[in-house]
Amino acid sequence: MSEHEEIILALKETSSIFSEAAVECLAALFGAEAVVEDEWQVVERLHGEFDRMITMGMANDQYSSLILVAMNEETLCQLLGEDEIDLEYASSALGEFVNTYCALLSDQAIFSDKFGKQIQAVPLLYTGGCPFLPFLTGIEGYLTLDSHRIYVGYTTRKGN
Amino acid sequence: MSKRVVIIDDSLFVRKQLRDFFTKKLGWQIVAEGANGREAITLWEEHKPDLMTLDIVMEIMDGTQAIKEIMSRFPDAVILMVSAVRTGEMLDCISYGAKEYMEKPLRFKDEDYIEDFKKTLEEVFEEPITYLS
Repeated sequence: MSEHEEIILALKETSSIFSEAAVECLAALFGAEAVVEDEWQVVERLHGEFDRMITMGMANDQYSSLILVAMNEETLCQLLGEDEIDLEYASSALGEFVNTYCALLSDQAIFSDKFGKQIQAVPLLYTGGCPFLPFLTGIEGYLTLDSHRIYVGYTTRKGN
Repeated sequence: MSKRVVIIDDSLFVRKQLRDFFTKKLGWQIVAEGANGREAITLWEEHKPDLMTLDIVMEIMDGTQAIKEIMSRFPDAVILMVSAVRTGEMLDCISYGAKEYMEKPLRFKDEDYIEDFKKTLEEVFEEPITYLS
């Protein structure tokens, strides 16, 4: 089995924890009760179509990974209970989201057995456009919160 | 009784969470906020608060170094660690003199978590603490 096939298999075997951790993360930080939209899919490349996107790199000796969380500004305003949010606060709130999401994933034995404990890098916020995303296999899906959609993706490859 | 608090965390979002909890739930006063361990030392010297909340993983100087320095110079300092770190560094902070710790994420939308936080503060101050009515 190739490394690529190994990663696809590992993502498929762990697929449910990615959506479950995202729901838990929203509840823990924002008290939001989000619903998982459809089954999350293993894809050849993550994508994001929202105006607030944050990425966070993670790595260990074996894997280099990226978490991507994206939503529209009005969704973030609803989560934070604010009418307007400046970029510094958006970056901080979404940064805390990806930090917590990473911690919740790492707490799952099935995740750390497959991908190990990974050290987190500093989260980066993007606005008004899609950041460069590597062509790497990942898993992605959406959460629904009232009429709002939140995108969450995780991509990984072997090696640094 | 109202207390004077200094909040140290590199996350603006977390600082706001803590500020809202202390001011809106307990009626306490936030006298200063900082984003790293170096600021923690400076702000302790400047304000001598009743309580400092201190994150561990921060740029410039982390919370472990900061509490070691603060407790060596101000042995009566009352410091509550607030961090996602649950292992060795947290134990180091307790051994340096942190009174207690609360784990992140701060689940301030969860009434049970809020009650746990209040109980922890009661253990720190060895007195009952009441919510702002």
